[in-house]
Amino acid sequence: MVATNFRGALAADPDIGAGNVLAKLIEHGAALDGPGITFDTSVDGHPAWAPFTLGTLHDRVAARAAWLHSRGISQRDPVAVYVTSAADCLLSFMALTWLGAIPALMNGNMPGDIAVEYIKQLRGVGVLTDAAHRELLEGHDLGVPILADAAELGTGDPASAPAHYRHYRDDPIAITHSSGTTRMPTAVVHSHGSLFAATRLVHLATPRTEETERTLCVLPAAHAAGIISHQQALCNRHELLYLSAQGGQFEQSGTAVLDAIERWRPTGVYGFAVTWAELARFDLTTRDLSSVTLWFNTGDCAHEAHVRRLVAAGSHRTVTREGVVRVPGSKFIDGIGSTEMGHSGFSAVHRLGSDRYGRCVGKPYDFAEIALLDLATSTEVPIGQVGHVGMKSPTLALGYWNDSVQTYRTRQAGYYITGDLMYRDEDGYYYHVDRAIDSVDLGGGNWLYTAMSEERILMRCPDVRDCTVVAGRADGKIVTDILLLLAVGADREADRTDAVREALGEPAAATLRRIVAVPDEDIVVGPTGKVRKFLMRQRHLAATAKS
Amino acid sequence: MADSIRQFILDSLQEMNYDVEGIDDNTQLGPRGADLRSLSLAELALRVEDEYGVKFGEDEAEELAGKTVGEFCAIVAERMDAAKTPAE
Repeated sequence: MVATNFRGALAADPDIGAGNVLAKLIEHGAALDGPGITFDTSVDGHPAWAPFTLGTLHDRVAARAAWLHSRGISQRDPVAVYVTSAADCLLSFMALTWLGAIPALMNGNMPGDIAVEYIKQLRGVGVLTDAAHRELLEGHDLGVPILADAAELGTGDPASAPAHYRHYRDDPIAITHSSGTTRMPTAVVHSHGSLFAATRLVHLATPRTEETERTLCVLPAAHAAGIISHQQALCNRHELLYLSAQGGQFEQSGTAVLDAIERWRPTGVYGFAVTWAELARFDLTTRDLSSVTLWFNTGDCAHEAHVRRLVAAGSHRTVTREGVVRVPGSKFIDGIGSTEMGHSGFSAVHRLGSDRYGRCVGKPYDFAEIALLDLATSTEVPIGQVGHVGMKSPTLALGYWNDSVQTYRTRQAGYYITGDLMYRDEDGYYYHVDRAIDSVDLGGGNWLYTAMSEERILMRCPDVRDCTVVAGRADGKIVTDILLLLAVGADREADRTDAVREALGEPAAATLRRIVAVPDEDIVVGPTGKVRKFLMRQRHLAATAKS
Repeated sequence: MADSIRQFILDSLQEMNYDVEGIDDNTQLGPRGADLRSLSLAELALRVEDEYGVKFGEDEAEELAGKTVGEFCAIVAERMDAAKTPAE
């Protein structure tokens, strides 16, 4: 069948991929005065919040490609990008891929000492940074030079940019990293084909909706989700506002996101779970969120307590016999995914009045083949039984950068083992119970699943805004401490023991040692706002052993 | 019958402000062809329901995106036949 429209033509082009979206859009005849990207910072004298058209965006990327080319950056050169602003990150990404180089995007929240080590392990050719991050790197042996501040690249002459590199689908086009909650962030390499597969198979293949026509993106730009989301918007010719650094310091990011919604009036808002947890600090009925029809979550599964508040806000249009009408309530799509998965693997839809929660992650996308495995036998576990998630998918990353050991350790029976534990029901819905590394074997076939326990605690304690279950071995036995982040006005002294015990269920409740209301700063999070449970477990057990 | 259903679909699309030039039985309603919006698919289903007395499920409108105009006409005709059968 011949494609008769722009989206269809893009999806049918075998040569388009995550390395050449901008060039391909123009080749396919996208209007140069159509939407590019809007940033929250100024770029090359172009003011913050003023939209770039596709043409001006292309021009700014060409300037950067020319600058990098004049400094000898070429195909297959890994270049680290360690910056704060979404503009510096995404424009550098597009310029480096223009040359066939491999941008290694780093989350600006990565601590300096870890960043130094991470850059060394990349074994690349240089680093692009900004003033704040240059300070963190200077004086350290990175093994490679700091090439420039990313903004300086904009001084290049766009007319002298070389011809765009011609990508093949298996070419490496970016290195991104995991949340870094357990150890050094893991560097993951994506291909031209893998990081574009979901855009081709889902985002260009499903009917257009108003939900994403004007997208506010609060996802961290340096991650796989940042690349996918901006390319998804560009390919669909949608307007996109990209907020830097997930809205800034997490404790203030809720205000930043709500202010941006009221100012820019998006139809869709994209974020990681931390954004929804931060929005839970606010009475959303006091803010004007009426433009929002869709909230899209990726990374970790979102909590029911947070989702229900969001779907009650916003509005959407629906068709009736009286015509198209706008009604209250929005949609929340929960898309659990990871850097290595290269996109959400599952999709669950929540609406006002819908009731399938309990960490239900929905069903796998059509492009993904999922198996819940018993790793000892490489066989699938029966319905209702918890197994390790194995995934086959065209979106899967090529592997870990400079780490074949880890690349092969995470492959089994033809599947990538995601590190998640799930069960599925008879209707084909999947439920996430925990990360395998966070779950605790209680003996006798019983397990403590920390993520599922947190979900249940949040539902039973409405005055708890977020919580973390920390379990480990102390004096030869397993003890579980519950760390609560309370909502404003909650009674710090309230006894929540019964609710927590009920949430944990037996036999996990027998391991409960104490329930503590903690200040925000006691929760250690990684660069994306994800709780560093492994580290917290170690710290908490060490601290309580001393006391 | 197929001709009149096709004409009704094309007329409806035109009323919904779609350019129908070049759309024929082989044109897909979704992104590979006419690229109807999600709400437009729902509206088209509703118009066809009212005109021909057939029914589409809540999730079916979205699935129509994968059908061609010809396939959609066939589905409507089939449902009209099925609706008539019990009464005969």
